[in-house]
Parts: sequence; C-alpha cells; structure tokens
Amino acid sequence: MASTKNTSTEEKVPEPVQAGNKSYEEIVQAIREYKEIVTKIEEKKLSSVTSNGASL
Amino acid sequence: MVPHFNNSLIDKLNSFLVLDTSVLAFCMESEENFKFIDHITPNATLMIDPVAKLEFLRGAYQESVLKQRKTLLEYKRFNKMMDHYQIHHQTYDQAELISRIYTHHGISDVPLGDLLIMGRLSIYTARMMFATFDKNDFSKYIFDRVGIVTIETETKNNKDIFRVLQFLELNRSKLDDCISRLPN
Repeated sequence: MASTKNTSTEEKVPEPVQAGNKSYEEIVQAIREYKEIVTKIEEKKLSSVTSNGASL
Repeated sequence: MVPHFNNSLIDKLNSFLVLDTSVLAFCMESEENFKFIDHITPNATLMIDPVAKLEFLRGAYQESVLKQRKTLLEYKRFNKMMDHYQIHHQTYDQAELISRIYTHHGISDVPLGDLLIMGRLSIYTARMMFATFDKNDFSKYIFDRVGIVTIETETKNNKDIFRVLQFLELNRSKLDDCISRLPN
C-alpha cells in the first residue's frame, strides 16, 4: 500500500487575489469586439479559399 | 443559446469554483454565454488556474485577439490561483499521484494540463469546485458531480446541438482513499 499522503496539505496555500478590475460592461464590450475580429478573420479565410477555387 | 438546468444548482455553487479552459472559451464565444456563466455563479468565488489561463491564451495569433482574451481574464469577479515555488512543487506532487490513480483505473492518457489543474485543486484546504465541458478527463474517482447544465447552442443541418457543462466538487475522502490503495 502506498503511504497515505495527506492531500489537504498543512502548509498554507495563499488566498486567491483578484485577477483584475474590469467591470461586467467592459467584458461584454471586449467579447463584442472579439466576435467582430474573429468573424472578419473567418470571412477572410473563406474568401481566400473560394478565390483559390478550392471546394468548401 | 438555451440552457436547461435545475435552479437549485445556483445555491449549490457556493464555494471556490475553478473555471476550466473550455468554460473560458465558452464565455468568449458570446455576450450571452458570458452572461449565463455570471448569472449561474453569484454565490461562487470564481478562480482562474494558471494552466487554464495559459491554455486559453495560447493559439491567439492576432494581437487583437490576444488582447480581448486577456481582457476577459481581468474580470473583477475572477481570482488568480496563486503560484510560487512551494505551490509549484505541491501541484506537481499531487498531479503525479492523481496520474497514478487514473492509470490504476486503466486511464493512462489524461492530458498534462488536466492533471496539473487537478493537482492544484487538491492542494487547497477549502471546498473546491470545478466547471468544465470536458466529459472525459475529470472522473468520479476523485470528484462528486454537483450538477449539470445542458446547453442548446445551435441547429446545424436540422440537428440540434447540445453541450453539457458539468460542475464537479473534489472529494477529499475519495482522493485519500484512492491514494491509500496505490501500490508502493
């Protein structure tokens, strides 16, 4: 049998710290902009494929 | 996007809740998705694992895409799981033990990132929950399932697409029992 290692270590694990201070509205705006960028990238890829005559 | 879930789940998600890479990617897909994750977790302390962060940011070729993904990680409700020399070693030790548990259950190909996430979860002394769309790599050997959300996302070729978001809680008794059963 393996030695039973206590998984909930006695050594203190630091408390989590806030990752940032962006508000809900700022995140929503970032997601909207992200979607626009990703959509443009996909459209570009698609037009590149079709202009090369490749099948979809 | 139409989620189906039991409303009691919202009350159950009342501890530290670590978001898997798949959940971060889901949030980034649309405002609606992000709103839903925010809505279903009002009682949870949302945590970002450094490995999940790395997985989420990798592959962002365009700087503008990288910038927006980084912005998501700066949401004021997100908390960083701390990482330093000592935690790093504890995480690796635990990940190794967990990989042995899985191997002894016939699963020897758990992705490295998932092992490290589970390793870090297991060194916290508090109750730790985990949200993921990954149905395969986080088993009931060491977790309890707290709840499931089925999400109707879109219809393609007249077929409905469903995604399953599961919420798990690390069960320390199960974990310690599995570890004690490992051969020397």
